Amino acid sequence: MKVKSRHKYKKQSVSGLAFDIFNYGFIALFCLIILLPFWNLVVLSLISKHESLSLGLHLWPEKIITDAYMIVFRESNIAYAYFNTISRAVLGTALSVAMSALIGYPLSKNNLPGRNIFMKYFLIPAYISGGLIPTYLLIRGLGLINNRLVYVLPIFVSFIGIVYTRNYIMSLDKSLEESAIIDGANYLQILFKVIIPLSKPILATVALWEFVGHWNAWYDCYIYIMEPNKEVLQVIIQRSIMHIANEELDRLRALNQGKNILAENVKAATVIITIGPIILLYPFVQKYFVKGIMAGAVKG
Amino acid sequence: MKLLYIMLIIPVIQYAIFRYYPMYGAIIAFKDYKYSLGILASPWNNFAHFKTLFNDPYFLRILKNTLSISILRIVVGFPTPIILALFLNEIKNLKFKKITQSITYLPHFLSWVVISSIMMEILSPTRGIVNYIITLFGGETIQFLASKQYFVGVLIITALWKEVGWGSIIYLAAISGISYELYEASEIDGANRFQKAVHITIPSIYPIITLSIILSFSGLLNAGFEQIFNLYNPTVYEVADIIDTYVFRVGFFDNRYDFASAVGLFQSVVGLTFVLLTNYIARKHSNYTLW
Repeated sequence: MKVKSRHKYKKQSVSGLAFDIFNYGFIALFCLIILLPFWNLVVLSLISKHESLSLGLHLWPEKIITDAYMIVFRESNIAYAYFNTISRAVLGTALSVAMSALIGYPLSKNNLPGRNIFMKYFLIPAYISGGLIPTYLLIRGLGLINNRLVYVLPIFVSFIGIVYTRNYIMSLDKSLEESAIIDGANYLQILFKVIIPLSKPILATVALWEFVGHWNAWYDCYIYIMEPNKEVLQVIIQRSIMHIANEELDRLRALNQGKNILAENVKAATVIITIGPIILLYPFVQKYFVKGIMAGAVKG
Repeated sequence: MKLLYIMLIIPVIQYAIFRYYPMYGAIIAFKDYKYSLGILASPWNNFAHFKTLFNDPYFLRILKNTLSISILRIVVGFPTPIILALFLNEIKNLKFKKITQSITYLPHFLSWVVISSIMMEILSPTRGIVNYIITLFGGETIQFLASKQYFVGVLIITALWKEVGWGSIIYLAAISGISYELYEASEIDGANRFQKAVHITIPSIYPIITLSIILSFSGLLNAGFEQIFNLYNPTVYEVADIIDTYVFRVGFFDNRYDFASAVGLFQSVVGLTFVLLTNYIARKHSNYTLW
C-alpha cells in the first residue's frame, strides 16, 4: 500500500518531462508526415495549371478550380469503374466468407479422416504457383479474358480465410455442437445454426480483409480486361499515371475545356475520387482490422 | 459425416482448376511453346530456356537488384516498427495514442497504385514538397524517380512510410502483455524510462522479435513488385528492375511465354526453398505453427 501512495505523489523528473514533450512532438510530426501527402494531393486536384508549376508547400489553393473533377466525371468511365469495383468487392467477399466457413468447419474437426491431406492440399498453393504465364493461359482457355468474372472466380477460396476461420472454430466451446448433435441435427444444420452465428467476429474480419483486397486489386484487371467499361478504379488511376494524359487534355482543350489545368491535376482528382470514400469510412472500420490481426497473430 | 466432405467439394474443385492446373502448365518452361500446338504437343527443349536465362545479360542484374532491394527492405524495415512501438508505448494519453495509431495504419490499406500517385507528387521536381524543402536549404532540385542514385532510397523510404504503422501493432500488443510488476520492481531499483525500455521491454519481446526476423527472411525474393512496377521507368531499370518486373515485361510485351515461365519457375523454386527453410527454423526456435 505504501507503493501505491508513492505513485500518486511521484515527482515528474525534468528529463522525464523533456522526453514526454519530445515524444508527443515526434509522434505528432510523424502523423503529419503521414497525412500531409494526402492533403497535398487534395490541394493539387483543386488548383490551376499556373499554381501547379510552382515549388511550394501548397497547403491551400490560392484559387479553387473544379475543372479537374469535371473532366474526371465527364470523360472517364469512373461510374463504370465504381460499379465494377463495388460489385466485385461485394460478390468476392461474400463468396470468400462462405468458403471460409464451409472449409473451416470440416477441417476444424480433429477426427475427420483425411483432414491432414486436405490441409496440405489447401496449403501448398500458397507457396507454389504455376506462375504468371500458365495462369494466363488457363484464364484464356476458360474464356475469362475480358470477362468480369475473372475478378472473382480465380480467388474466391482464400487461404488466409481458411486458416483464421478454422483456428477460430477450433477454439469454440464444443458443448454447443454436441448438444445440437444430440438434438439430431446434421452437420449442415450445425454449420448454419450454431457455428456461423458464433463465428461472426472472425467472419467479419475475413470479410474486411477480402473487401480491401478486392478494392485495391489492379493486377487481374490490368492483365485480363480489355474493355474500358469493365475496369476497376485502381486501373483507371494507373492508366493516368502510366500513359501521360496530356494528349487527352489537348483534345479537350481544343474543345475549350480544361484549359486551365494539367494532366497532373486530373490525375490527382481521379485518385481523390477513388480513395475519398475509403478515407471517410476508415476511422469507423479500422478497429476491426486491428482486432482481427491481434486475434490471428497472438495465437501464433 | 458425408456432409462434411460435401462442404469441401466446391473449394477443392476451385483449387484444382485455378491453383493446381497452372502448376502443371509450368512444364511450359521446359518446352518450346508453339501456340498452334498447345502445351502438350510442343517439343521438349532440353532446358534451353534455363540456359538462356542464366546467360541472359540481364539475369545478373535482376538477381542483384532483387536481392539488394529486399535485403535493404528487411534491414531498414525490421527495426523501425519496433522503435515506433517503443515510443508509442511511452505515450500516456490514451486518446492521443489511439488517434495517432489509427493515422499511422492508414497507408497500409491503400494500394501501391494510389500511394505511388501520392509519392510522385511529393517528389516532383516542379512542385513537390520535398524538392521545395531542398531548395529552402539552398540545394538543387532532384529528380528522384529518374535518378539511379536515389530511386532505391525512395523505394525503401516510401515502403517504410506505408508499413511502419501497421507493423508496430504486433509489437505494441506484445508489449502490453508485459507484467507491470517487472516495471514496478525496476522502479524500486531506481530505473529511469530509458533503462526500463532497454532492460525490460525489449528483452520481454525477444520471442516476437526473433520470430519476425526469421519470417521476414522468407520473403527474400520478394522485393515488392507492386511498388516497383508502379514507380519505375526505363531510366532506372538498372537499379530497380527485379525478377518479377522483368518476367512481366518479357512475358507480356515480348510474348516470350516460355522464357518467362522459366524465369518464373526459377523464382518459385528458390523462393519456396527460402520459405521452407525459414519456416523450419521458426518452428524449431519457437512454438510457431501455421498449420
